Amino acid sequence: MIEPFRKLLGKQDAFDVRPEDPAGGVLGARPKLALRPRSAQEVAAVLQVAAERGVTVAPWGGGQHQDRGAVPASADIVLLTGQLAGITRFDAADQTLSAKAGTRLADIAQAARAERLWLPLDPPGLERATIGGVLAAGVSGPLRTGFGQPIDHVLGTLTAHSDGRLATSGGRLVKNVTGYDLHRLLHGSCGALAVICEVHLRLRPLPQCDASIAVTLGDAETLDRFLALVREAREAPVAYVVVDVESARSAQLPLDLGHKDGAYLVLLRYCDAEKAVERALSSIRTAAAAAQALLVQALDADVGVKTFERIREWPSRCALDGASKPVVAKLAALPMRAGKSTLGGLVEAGLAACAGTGAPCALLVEPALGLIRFVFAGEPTRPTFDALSALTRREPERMRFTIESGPAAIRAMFARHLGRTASFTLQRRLKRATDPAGILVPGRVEGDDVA
Amino acid sequence: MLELARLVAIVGAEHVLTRPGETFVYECDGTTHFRQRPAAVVLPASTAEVAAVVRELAVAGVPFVARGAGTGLSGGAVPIHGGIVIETARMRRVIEIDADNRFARVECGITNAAVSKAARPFGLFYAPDPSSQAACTIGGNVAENSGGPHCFKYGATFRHVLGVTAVLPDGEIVECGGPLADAPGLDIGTFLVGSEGTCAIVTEATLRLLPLPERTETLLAAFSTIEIACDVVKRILAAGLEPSALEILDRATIEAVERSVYAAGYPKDAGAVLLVEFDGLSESVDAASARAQALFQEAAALGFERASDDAHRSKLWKGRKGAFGAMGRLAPDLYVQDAVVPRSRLPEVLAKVVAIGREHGLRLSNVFHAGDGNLHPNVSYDRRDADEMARVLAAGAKIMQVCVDAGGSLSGEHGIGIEKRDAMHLVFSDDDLLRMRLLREAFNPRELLNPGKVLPTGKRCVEAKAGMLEPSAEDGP
Ligand SMILES: Cc1cc2nc3c(=O)[nH]c(=O)nc-3n(C[C@H](O)[C@H](O)[C@H](O)COP(=O)(O)OP(=O)(O)OC[C@H]3O[C@@H](n4cnc5c(N)ncnc54)[C@H](O)[C@@H]3O)c2cc1C
Repeated sequence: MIEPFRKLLGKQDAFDVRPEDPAGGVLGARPKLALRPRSAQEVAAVLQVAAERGVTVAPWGGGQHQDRGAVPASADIVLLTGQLAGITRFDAADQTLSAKAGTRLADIAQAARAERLWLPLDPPGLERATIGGVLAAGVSGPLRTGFGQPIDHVLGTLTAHSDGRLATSGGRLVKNVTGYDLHRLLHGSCGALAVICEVHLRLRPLPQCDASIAVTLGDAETLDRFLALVREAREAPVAYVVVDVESARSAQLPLDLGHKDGAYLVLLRYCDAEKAVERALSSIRTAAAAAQALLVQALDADVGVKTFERIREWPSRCALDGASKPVVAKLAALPMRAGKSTLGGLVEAGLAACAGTGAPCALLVEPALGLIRFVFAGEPTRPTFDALSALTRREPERMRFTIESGPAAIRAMFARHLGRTASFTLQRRLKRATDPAGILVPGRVEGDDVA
Repeated sequence: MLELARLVAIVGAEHVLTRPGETFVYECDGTTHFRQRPAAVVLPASTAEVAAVVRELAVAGVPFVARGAGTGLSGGAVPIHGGIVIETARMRRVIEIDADNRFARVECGITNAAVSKAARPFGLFYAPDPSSQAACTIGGNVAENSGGPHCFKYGATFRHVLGVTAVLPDGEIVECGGPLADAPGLDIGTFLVGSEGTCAIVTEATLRLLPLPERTETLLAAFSTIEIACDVVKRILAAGLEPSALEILDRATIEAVERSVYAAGYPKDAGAVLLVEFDGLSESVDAASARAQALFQEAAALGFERASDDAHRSKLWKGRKGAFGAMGRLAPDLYVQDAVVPRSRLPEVLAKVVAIGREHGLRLSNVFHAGDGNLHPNVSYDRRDADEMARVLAAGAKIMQVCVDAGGSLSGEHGIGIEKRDAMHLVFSDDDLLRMRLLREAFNPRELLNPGKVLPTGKRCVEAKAGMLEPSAEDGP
């Protein structure tokens, strides 16, 4: 199998995967061959050869988010985008930047900062994650509350397809409605439609003032009261998460977490003009007092950023032994009802369901988005998922349960909890339109209707 | 063969229009030079009726096109291959406003303005604001991924659609996305936004609502030249300010506006006026506004006005919002061009656009969304004058080329439709277009839904490199 690829890429960029290489466990399939193309044209050529030989391909960026989607039926080749890296164009005056897919987010952030610009995208694994991988996995971090998901920053893409062709979608313009937007389908496609080769991004100006605040609360009831007040407030946070205090301690957040009755820690970040941020912080103090918070701590820009960074990276440090990632189950809910927050109650019920089935877990909530994540340090079993999923059954139109990520074995076992989608036939037809040979991680996205 | 009786059985006789006097208005949209009358117009009242009608048409193999208000500016709703127009005018309900969770579920025939109006009592609004918002429908907005002056800050329609209910061209009803975050599977709903009514008929949409801003401040500054106005835009953005709108009107537009009922008191001696709006928290608006005013002064503005109340703000916007109307009064027809360029290239592109207008002896004016480099060169003309019509189209093609050469693209908000479909080669390769075709075929394999739009077809493909499509018999009488 290796020869035709060596011919294309050279010996050093087409090699056998060693058993100790990371790909296997997360992906759920064992690639035999690793390829490192250097250009979009090489990617397209690789895909064409693979299609001709009927071998399957798994695109691999920083390897930070391979633990998503269904387990692919096979992945003979892992296509590493590490050499497909670099910023190809940066128009600071237009606030746009183009980068090859394997460019690390951290490098984009650094280039942007030099021009006082910002790509407000902070997925876990930021130091190693690549822009192509983050778009394909559709992962965001705490800044999603204020700035949206990866796709919201993407103006266009260059992709390679399994018929050996390249395709441009969108462009480098901040506003553009020319043609069909393939790039929007790539978001969360987990590599199953095409290999992303280049991404065009919109940047924003760095905020004038940036500050965060942490509020400790004693129970779910006061948490709900506080969340409702934040929702009412005119000042909108750009990052906003809730964690359980114990997790905050194990994440070693640079704050005072000593309060003996503390159960939940709410972190809020504001970016705006200085006086507007001051006002936001003071309105949080007022809300915290009204909700009988136990502790309020203002954090200056650096400490705030560091706190969110630790929270963002901490779940991957709770990974099961031998796996690189923990199991994350996710409840998506409508966060408010009749002026009251519903999340505190759900959090409590969820934690009880997990504890009751012997699977202790940590909590990561994004209240503005209505997302509750249960992060498992041990190995959850079917009863735990069934108990969590049962919570949503009462009001399916207000809640949905899915498994967001986890080792392949868990994903395979609980395929039905990965989530169901509307039109499978349509998804399959879109897969065929973009991956006619059906060789890109088959089964990962379009196959998630496995019952 | 389609028997109309089958459609009548679904929607009722009074909702199937066939008389020439009734179908006449459906032969064109806001671009008046592409015309084709449909065989009939059907007005369903629900998703189920749309699906039933579509199933009949699919079985009979009859082409069909969805139509909202017909304000589209690329010929999107024109049934160029004849067949049936499915008009959404009876589907105007607000199904639900969930003020707690800030979303609205609406039927697709509701007007854009009606959504914001319904949301207002809850202190919320729907952000996309095309200038046609009093008339255009959410279905049309979704199809075109419509923008508006405030999409500079808030983003175009796709940022605000949480989910859709859609009828595929074979009559299958699909639900895509919704108010719950992170729907599993491919994000088909957002892909449908901007697919120009060629992939599915959207029957319902779940829209994100935003809290009304605490404070809005509008600034209007006049400058001696359009270059200076563009330079000020550049400085505003380089200063890290994030206005909600950044609009420029050139001298020709100012003159037309000031001579019309839309007169807003813009200084007639100015080369350009710049409208800048900030919204958000009072403190943030104050800081940004002060900075922008300082930049106006540094750039030797001829004068400026500041509006903090609604009445004054409406006055400043009046000229901008009435610009198309004012231009439309100068001649029987108005050709509204729509193209985008990187905003740093605006001054040089505008100079070329003005020169092209002059070379072709046309009455051309510019009003544009400067923040996102979205140009609207407008030409007032008379389509009965064949020579003038030819010059309009020739100038349009050249403008398009100038924009593409500057790193721009064909459309910022009006879409490709029939008007620019054969210019797609200017920005996309054959492989790019092939992939787009395959994507469309995944939804619309027989191209019964809105045929002949967006992508160049057969023979045209080859000729296309010359530029834009000229209206011809094939595209309607
Ligand atoms: C004076 C004026 C000002 C304008 N200003 C702006 C502006 O500021 N910004 C902007 O973006 N546009 C603007 N437009 C263009 C136009 O108003 C928008 O494109 C609008 O979204 C069209 O909506 P409509 O309901 O009129 O759609 P139509 O013209 O009826 O249809 C447009 C397209 O949408 C499709 N369609 C309609 N309904 C559906 C549906 N339910 N499902 C699927 N497809 C459907 C049609 O098939 C067609 O392809 C302006 C137009 C005018 C005349």
